[in-house]
Order: sequence, then C-alpha cells, then structure tokens
Amino acid sequence: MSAKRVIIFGGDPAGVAAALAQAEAGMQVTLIEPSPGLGGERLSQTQLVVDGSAFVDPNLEAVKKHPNIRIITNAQVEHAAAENGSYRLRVRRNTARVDLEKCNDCRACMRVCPIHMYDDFNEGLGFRTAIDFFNPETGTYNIFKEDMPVCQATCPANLDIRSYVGLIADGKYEESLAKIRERLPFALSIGRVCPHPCETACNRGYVDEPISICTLKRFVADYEMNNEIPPPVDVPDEFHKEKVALIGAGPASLSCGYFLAKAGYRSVCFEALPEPGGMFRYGIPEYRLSTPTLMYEINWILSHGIELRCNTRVGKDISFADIQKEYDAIFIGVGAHTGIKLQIKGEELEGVVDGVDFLRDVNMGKPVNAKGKVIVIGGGNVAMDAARVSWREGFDEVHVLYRRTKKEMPASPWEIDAAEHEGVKFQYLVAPIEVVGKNGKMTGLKCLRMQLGEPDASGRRRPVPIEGSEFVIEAETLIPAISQRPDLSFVPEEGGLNITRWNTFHVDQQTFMTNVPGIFSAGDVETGPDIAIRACANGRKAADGIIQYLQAKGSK
Amino acid sequence: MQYTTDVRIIRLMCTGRVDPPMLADAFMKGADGVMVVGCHFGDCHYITGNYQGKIKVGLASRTLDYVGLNPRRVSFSQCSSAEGERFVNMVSAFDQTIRELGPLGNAERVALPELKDKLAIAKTVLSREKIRWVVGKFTEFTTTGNKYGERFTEHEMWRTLDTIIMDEVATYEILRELENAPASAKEMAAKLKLPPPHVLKYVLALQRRGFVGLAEIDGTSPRYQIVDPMAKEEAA
Amino acid sequence: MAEEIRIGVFVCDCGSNIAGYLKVSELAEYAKTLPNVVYVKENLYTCSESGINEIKAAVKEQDLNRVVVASCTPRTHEPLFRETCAEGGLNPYLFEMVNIRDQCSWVHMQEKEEGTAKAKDLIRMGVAKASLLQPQEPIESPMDPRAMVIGGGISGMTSALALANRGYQVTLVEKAAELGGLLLQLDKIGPANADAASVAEKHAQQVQGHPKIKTLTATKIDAINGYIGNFKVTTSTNGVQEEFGVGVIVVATGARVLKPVGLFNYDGEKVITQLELESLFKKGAFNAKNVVMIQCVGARNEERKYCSRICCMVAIKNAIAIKERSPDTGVHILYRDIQAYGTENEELYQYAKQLGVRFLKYDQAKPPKVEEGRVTVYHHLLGRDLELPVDLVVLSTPLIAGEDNETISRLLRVSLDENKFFLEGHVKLKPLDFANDGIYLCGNAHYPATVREAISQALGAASRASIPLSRDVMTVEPIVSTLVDEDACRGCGLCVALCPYGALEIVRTEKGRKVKVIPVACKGCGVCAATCYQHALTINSYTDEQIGQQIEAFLETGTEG
Repeated sequence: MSAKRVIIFGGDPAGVAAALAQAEAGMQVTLIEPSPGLGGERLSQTQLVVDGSAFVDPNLEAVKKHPNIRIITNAQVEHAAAENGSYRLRVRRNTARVDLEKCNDCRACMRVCPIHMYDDFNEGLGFRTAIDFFNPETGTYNIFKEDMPVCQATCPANLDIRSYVGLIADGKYEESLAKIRERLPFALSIGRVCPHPCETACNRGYVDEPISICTLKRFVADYEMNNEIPPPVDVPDEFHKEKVALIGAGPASLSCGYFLAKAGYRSVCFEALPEPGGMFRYGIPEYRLSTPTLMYEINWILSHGIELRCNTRVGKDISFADIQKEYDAIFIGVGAHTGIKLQIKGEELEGVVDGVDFLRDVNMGKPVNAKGKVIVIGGGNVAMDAARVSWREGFDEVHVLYRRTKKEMPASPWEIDAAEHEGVKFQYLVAPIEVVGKNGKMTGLKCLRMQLGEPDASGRRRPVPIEGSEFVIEAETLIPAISQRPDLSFVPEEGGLNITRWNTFHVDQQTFMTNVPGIFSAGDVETGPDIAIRACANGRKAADGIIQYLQAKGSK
Repeated sequence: MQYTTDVRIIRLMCTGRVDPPMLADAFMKGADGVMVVGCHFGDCHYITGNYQGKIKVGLASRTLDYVGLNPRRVSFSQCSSAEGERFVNMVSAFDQTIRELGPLGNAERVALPELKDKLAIAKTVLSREKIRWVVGKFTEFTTTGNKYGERFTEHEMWRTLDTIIMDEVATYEILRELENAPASAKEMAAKLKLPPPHVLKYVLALQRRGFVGLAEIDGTSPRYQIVDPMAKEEAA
Repeated sequence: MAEEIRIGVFVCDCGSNIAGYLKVSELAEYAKTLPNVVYVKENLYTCSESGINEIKAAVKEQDLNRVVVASCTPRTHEPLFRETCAEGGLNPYLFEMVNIRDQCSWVHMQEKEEGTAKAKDLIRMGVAKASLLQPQEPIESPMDPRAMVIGGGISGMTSALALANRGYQVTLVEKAAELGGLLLQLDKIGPANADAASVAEKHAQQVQGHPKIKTLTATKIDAINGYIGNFKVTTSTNGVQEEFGVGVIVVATGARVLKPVGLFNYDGEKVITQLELESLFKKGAFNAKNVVMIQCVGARNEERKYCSRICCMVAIKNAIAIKERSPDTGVHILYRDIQAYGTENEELYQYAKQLGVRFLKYDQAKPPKVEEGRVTVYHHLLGRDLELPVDLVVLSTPLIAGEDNETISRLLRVSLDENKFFLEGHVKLKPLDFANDGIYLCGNAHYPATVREAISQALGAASRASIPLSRDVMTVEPIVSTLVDEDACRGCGLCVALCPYGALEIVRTEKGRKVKVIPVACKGCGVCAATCYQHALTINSYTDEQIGQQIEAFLETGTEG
C-alpha cells in the first residue's frame, strides 16, 4: 500500500511548512508553485529583521532535501478533476529560460538586460529587469516573458503586429507583408474591412491615438498590388496524396485551403454561389471592398493549389456522402447566410427582404426595386451595410430602427457615423410589432416605442415596451438585419454531426474537428455571425488540425 | 579641390573602430562637429565594418541628442578613396551646417557649462556595458534573430536603445549626485529636473542591484548613498 | 621606470609641394615647443636618400625613441619610413605620420596662414599620439606550403597545374567522378574553335600525371578549419574520410547551366538548350532546316537580374557552326542586347552576319511565342508580329551558381553575392582574392566566364596564392586586435559574432571562457574594440587612449575657432 499523496499549492513559507509537516507524517507531497522559486514574496522582508545579512528560511533547505517531497516550480494547475475520492491534476510547467545548473549568480545578465518593467514583487515601486532573480536569497533566475503584446493578443488571428508595423517603419514593405501572410492570407481584404479590435486595445491610445494597424496592413498589401509585385506563391515541390474538401469558399475555407497548400495538401473547394469569397463577396458592400481587389487576392490564394468548383451546392449538385467518400478530410466553412426572422406578423409580405439576402442580391448585380422608403431593423454592421447600400441604391428615405439607443449599438461607431453622415435616419428605442400590408404587398410597419430597463445577460440595458405607444411608419420595403445563422440543411442527419441550438457546429477548440472524425469546421458556421478575421484565424487553426489528423491517419 | 581649414582628420582603420564614447569625448573637449566618413555600403574594405560604424554613430548621436546636443553636429557619411570631389562637397556642406549652428552651446537645448556635464554623463553611458551589450546585438537581432528565433526590426531596436539611453542617463546622473554627497530622491529630482517618482524608481532599482543603500533618514525622507565600491567606479 | 619619451619630428618641404603653400620653417619652430619633442628637422624631401639618412642618424645620435614625419600620405610613404626607423634601430611601430600635404598644402592653397595653423594642429596631434605608441613585433605564423584547389574544371585544373609547376604540393578536389567540369559537355571552344573535350582531356592528363598534384575525384569536403597558412581540411571519398593540412585554398567550383523547365515550351527535343545543341553537334545528330535561338532565357529578369555574359557568344559560335555545316539552314537569333566584347568576338559577330545569321531584337515585355512549327516575335521596328518557321528552337540559358556554393561558403566562412556566386574581396583591388586571407577564386565560381577568361583568372589566382606559399612564415602587420585585459573579458562572444573575418574565437582557459585573437586572420578594423563592453580588446596603434590623445591635442589650445 503506497503512501497517501498530497498536493500543496503555493510555495510561500506557509506552504513550505505545510509540505514539511505532511511529509513528516509520511505522506508523498507534491508542492506546486507558480513562480520560479520557493519562498514567496515575503521572504526578502526578513532582511528587515536581520539587517545586512542574508537570511534563508531553514524550512526552505529542508523542503528541498526531503525525500518525500517533489517540488514543481514555475508551473500552473490547468485542470483539476475529482474522481473516486481522488484528484487528477493537469499541471503546465512554464519554460525555464535560464539553465540554473550553469548559472553562477554573477548578475551580469541583470545589468545588461534592456527590458525594464515595474517590479511586481515590490508593488511596482521600483524597476526590475526581464531577467531577474525571483528573490535575492534563493537566487532563482528566470526570464519573465510576458504574453503577446495587447494588439497581438486581441487580434483573433494573433498577427505579429509589432513586427509588421516595425518593418513598415523600416521601409521593408515586402517583408512586412510576408510577416502578415504567415498567419493571414487576406491582407488586402482584411486591411479594408476589419473592425480592428487591435487598435481599440493599442496602448498608444493612452498617449494620443492608436497606431493605425489596420490601414497599415492595407497599405503594404496595396503597395504590392499597385506596384505589380507578383505575390509569392510558396508551396512545397511535391504535394501529399491526400485531398481535402472545402465546403464554402469564404474567408474561413480559403484561409484553411491556403495553409493546407503551404503544408503540401491539395484541396477542392465547393461553392454554391457563382463566385468565391463568401461574405467578402456577397455580404460586404462594394464600396467597402471592391470585387476586383477581392478577386485579385482570391486568385492568388487559389493559385497555391486549391481547385475551385463554383455553382456547386452541396446537397443538391453533389451529395455530402459522395464528398465523404472521395476526400480524406472535409472542412465546412459555409458561413451564416440565413437571416433570422423577426417573428412578427406579416413578415411574408412582398417588400420584406432579409438583410443578408438584400446585400447578396445587390452584390450579384440583381436589380433592386428602390422606390419610396426603406426601413432597416437592427444595430449591427450588417444593418449599417444594408442601410448604406439602400441609400446608394436610390431609396428616397432610409430609416434604421433600433430598440435600444446609439450607445448600445453593436455596429462599429465609424460605420454608424458614416451612415448618419450620408443621410440615413436613425430611430432609437423602437421595436417592430407587425408588418402591415395590402394585397400581399407591405405598406408600412407598426412599431412600439421602448425605454431602457435593467441590464440583461449581455450587460446591455434591456428595452422595455411603453404601453400604448404604437405607431405606423409607412414604407414599401423592410430589411430585417438582426442576426444570421448558418443553413445546415445539406448535412445529412444520418451523418451523426452534432448541431447546437444556434444551428452551428460544436468543434474542439484546438483542432476544430467536429464530433465526427475527419470533418472540421470553422468560421461563422462554427462561431455564429462574427468578424471576418476570426473566420480567417479559425480557418488557419482548422488547417493545422486537418494536417495533424491526416498525418496521424497516414502514419497508421 | 579646396575646403575649409577648420577640419582635422583623425585616421582610423575603419568606421567600425568608432567607439561611441569617442564622439562624446570630442564634444566634451570642445569640438563643434564630428564627421565620421567611411566606405560605401557593400564596398567596405573591412566587409561589414561600416555597417557597425553606422549603428555606433547612430547610437552616439541619439545619446548626445538626448542629453541636449544638437544632433546635426554629428554626421555619418560615405565616400570612397577615389571620390575626392565628393569628400570636399561633404566637408563643405558639413562646415556650412556647423557655421549655421555656431559654436557648441549656441544651438543646444542646454547651455554650455551644464552641457559639458551632460556630455560627460553621455560618455559614461556610452562606455558602460548595458548599452554596449544591446548595440552589439543589433546586427544579430535584426538579421538572424535572438535565441528564440525572434527577429526584431531596426525600428524596434532603436526604440529599445532609446529607452535604455533614457534609463542609463538618469541612472548615471543619480550615481554622480550620490558620489558627491548622500541625497534624498526629492533633492536629486530637483537638481536633475526629473519627476521625483522617477528618481525614486531609479534609486530603488540601484538599491536592488546593490549599488546604493540607505545613508540616513532626514525627517521623513530617506537619504541614499553609494555602498558598493564597484558603483563608485562606475560613477567615476 | 617609465622611459623618457624622446620624439624627433621631421617636417618635409616636398620641394615646393608643401613649402610653397605652408610656412614650413614656422612649423618646425612650432614642433620644437611641443612636449617630449627633443629634435626637429626640416627636410627638402624627407623621403630622399639624404632625408632618410638624417632620420637614421638622428635616431642614433639624439637617442630618439619616437619619430614623427610631417609630410605626405601614409598610403604611399608609411612603409618606407617604418623601414627607415627599423634600419636606424627603432621599432618601426614607434613611428607616426602626419599628412600635411594632402590635408593642408593641397587643399588650402590660398590660405597660407590658416593652412599653417592647421598643420601645427596636425603635428601636435601626431606628436600626442606618438608619445603613447608602443613597440609592436610583426606577427609571424608558420606557412604550410601546400595548396588545395576545389573544383576540377578548366579553372581548377589550370590553377592546380600552375601551382604545381611552381613546385607546390597541390590537392585537387572534385565532386564528380572525372575531371573536366562543364567542358566535357561542350563541342568547340570559341573563338579559335578548339575541341572542348580534347582541351579538357589534355589538362586532365597533365593533372593526373603531375607528381605534385594529388587528385581526389568523387570527393566532397566535410570540414575546413583554420586560417591562412594553417587550414585543416576533411574530405570524404566514397565514405572514406581523409584529413590534410594546406596553406591556401583556391575556389574553382564552377557553375551550372540553367535548365529552362517551363520556359518557351522547353522539351529537350524540339526546344533545347545551347548545351544540348552542342551535344547534337558532337553526336553528329544535328539536322534542322530552320533554327531560332532565343537569348536571355531565364536571365536578366526579376528572378535572376544578372547577365550571364557568355551566352551571346555561345549562340553566335553555334550559329556559325550551323551555317558552316549546312549553309541552307536558316538561323535567327532573337536577342535583347548582344554582348560581343573584344576584337575576336566582334569579328565573329560580324562573320555570323555575313554568313546570313539574322539577329532580331525582342522586347522583354513582349517575349517570343514558341509554338509547334513556328516562333512568333514582335518586331519593334516593323511594329508587328513576325512569324518564323522553325523545326528547332535553341534557348540560351544563363549559368547559375553551383548547388554547393552555399555549403562551401559556410565551410570557408566567405561571402556569396545575391545570386549565390562567390563574392571577391574587392571589385577592383582584390578581384581574385576573398576578403579572408589565403582563399582565392577563379572561373565560373565567381561569375560566368569564357574558357579564356577562366584560364586567365585561374593563372591569376594561382599567382596570388603562390605569394604566401613562397614564404616559410607568414608575416602580418601587427596592427591587429589584442586582448589587453584578459581578466575583464567575460567570454561572451559579442565580438566574435561581429568580426567580419572570423579572427576571434572563444577558448577555455584556466580563467574561464575568454576570447582569443587569431592575429594572422585579423585585419585590424576595430569593430571588436568598439563593441566590447568590458573594454578588454583594443587595436594596436589605434587604442582608445591614443585616439583620445589626438582629440585632446586638437582641442586643447585651439589655435583657431
């Protein structure tokens, strides 16, 4: 019968004392401490007691020598689970960046370290260097490496912003673009449409204004395109024999295909619509991202070894089962192209057209009956696009209805400002309750005024209807743009794919594999409606997942 | 080919030999301008020496600029031994610049007697290991990258060096003050025209490195002094 | 303890070169007032026999231990005066030269007063530095009188033979199984129409029969360590390793012909390269009625910006060969520019035109189109497309850098240019040497060359290489880096990474890791001294103190604003 095992978190003097006590009692003790050395922050204060001389807690030496104690420093507990009266822990050790065997405590490293940071062991009173001893007595040196810079951490694709902006500062534009393309193939498009959360996070904003990260990306991409520098196509000489099917030709699928090709895997991309690009092509209006620019970029991506089959709707022109048979892995990136209904009366009347459908029709060049007044419902970026496109299509008046106030609108503020500036009229605290019509055609929208109540689960104040405030806005066209969800009707039920109640796939967040091995998914179809760069980012992660999957399969 | 008689040439084997403190030294001793002239890039007799020269001169001029010197007084130019005409033009143009600026102290942010003290600090900073270590890694970090394979841009390296210049100048100014007599953070802040919290941080960092210790407590404010003989040497 | 510094200053009139524009006697008088100066002499020509004798005499009689000459440029005269000091019994590195001709009399001809004042400053600065000069001994290192030639093509063989005929032991290393290189694939060599194979064979026989040459074929080089006079080479032949020492290395690794895969419908049958055309000649298998040659295929473009230089003459040579074989065959050469430098080549160019070879210039932006049976090319004078009937298309492709260049450059620690050819030490001053001493280059390894050029370069490189080989001991100027403060050195290697010559290394000593200077390899640029944060390294005769003294001396009195 082996001894009972005990885990103690924290290597400060109390933790050390507890570990010794338990070990003396015959337990097998594991001591886990997140910082590189035992002793805790308080130890250096013992100097105040015994002035001048180094004072080391005798327990510290004892705990290191005790045969029953295993010490794991510089490590965090990631996961703990209780089972059958015992615990299982997953511990992640941070990289040790100093070889303590070789270190002889000369402190030369500290004297030359260029990185100064507030000394967090000393309440930020002084500076310490990035390489530092944990506390002067134990002399456990380590390089404290912080996480990514805030901009990079905020970016869904974790672009190495610091490097590519710095390379632009050095005038090395092509290298800068190459740096971006290490993680994102869509520099031209994302440089135009991204709502750039990185800039919101940028620390420079505290000084004056954030670095224009997004526009800088656009600049280097435009520089290459406008100077007719051929973009590099860097793929291995030989491709693997496995083939991957990409369903949908949007940002997620194309990013996935791009990174697969770079790793030497060919893919075939099935697109239901006549042209590739997904939401880039059919959701984003021309004035934000022009089709020739987008096509320039997509053609370059396709040239890496992605075969494109347009006008091929899976489930209609080719069955999902056939694809499953023919390809070694499947990536589903069909996006979210179905508008969510308002769930009000009269929604079936002629003149009601969903936001994404409306944008797609305009982008496909279909004629729009742009007469009279149009009402757009919603406060997101799709609503703003729909409103601004409507105005360009020639409606006499464009009204945006939103049930909360401008402050709560999820759309990017510059989009709202631009829409207002262009002449779109906003009506806040208004909710639709019925589409009124005559002879099957809509003639107006009955609305209700709202007021803001208590905050809801999303943290925004919940709109509460004001009794008896109904009124009708006369309009011939209504564009609801409240949200979208994926259309997964092509997925056969017998395939066993788990679909969430938001009509999205549930995937493993590391590999982006669905519950069915070999089927991967990312983009709006996995996250629900989200920004393009997240789709690109997850497409890349899915490509990594697919590569791992194929390699594991191949090695069997 | 004639040029001004105000220029004196000091022969070095290569611009790579230019050690940043030499520039500070020249200004301290009263030069009004320093030109470093080397081979053209890619045509250096010492292969890559001139690249190192450019980085070192860049560092020196940034440091001198930070302590108050007009950076136009430092020039790094290139000229081959077959380009006499070009050399004359360069010297004449630089001479013109210096004439516009006038004698040292005339076009500076800091007036003369004080400027010399500041230049002495700059010379110390440029001779010390921290800045030299980082500038020595400049080429490696911008071309092949560090141990983790991260490559830095020149822009980043210069930004890092700029912050080191700032820290080191403050640090050595404080050490010099303490060399004279123990002082409190507030007293030094007033003298060095630095915000007192900054001075305190530098003092605490010095204390952590074991250079500075508590001398006495005067009322409520502690006075610091140099405790490590090595630090005295550094300050000297 | 400290010796008394006794400086002698010699001021040169240089006839009227200096004396015509500066007040030399005033300079001499001024020099007498400088600290440590015990003797001053004005000479009409210091570099003349009498001037030199005066220096020698003064060193002895006045017991001088430093000499300063204020005259012309050290570029021409420093060696002479150093030798003079040595003959006078003074260490030659206790000599300092002040250039009052190039820096004063020549450039300040109209300003006698100011020029003289400046010359005084310069002399004062020179004297100040001289006081701090230290004696130096020339650095000597034994010379291994053996050579290695890498590459068994025409350049390598020529070089090896030239060295061996001078009596040096040579090891010739070739990676292929037989000697000859690119020549083995050629038909005739222009302009004299010699048979390429027999030239190669003749050389190979001479090489293999030479008692001083050891030939290692099918051999690759695994490692090269050391420096001039003392290289250690490890090779392996069919898995058998061999180690030997050499004093110098000649790089003659040659180049490859670009295979134009994917260009102009290249298929190796109807569309071939010049090299393949020559093998058709050799086999006697050439029979075509209409030939079109296209120049600059895969060269002078974005990917390869350089001109391969020899392809024009190759095309002209082969066009003539075709015309001489079958005069009825139509030959068109589609070119962007023609390189036919030198009298023979120009004659051949004209001769080809006489024979009826037609030269058509095409535009890079509108390249010819190769289709079955015809080539379409845009004629820029006619302003329209021309259709040329064709049954054989010959593509002139450039020579590209050898595939082993990167490996060899790493082994030798020498540089490559942007096209991966080997980079010479200096375009004009050291065209056959590498920047690193004791390593030389010739032939296609450097840049595409004709056989003639390759041979002249090979002879030149051999001649350069035999200069150090002819000495038992390498003597190098002692103006090199030295570790003056071993205790301060932390062995961090910062200087090692920046040394352009690989002249520094980290060694383990009793005191721990320390840097070690390899003086023979060091050129004294000073990057290490300017980098060391411990100030442990310095450069002889250019120490921080000496330079600081010069600055000090310039600014101490301030003869003028």
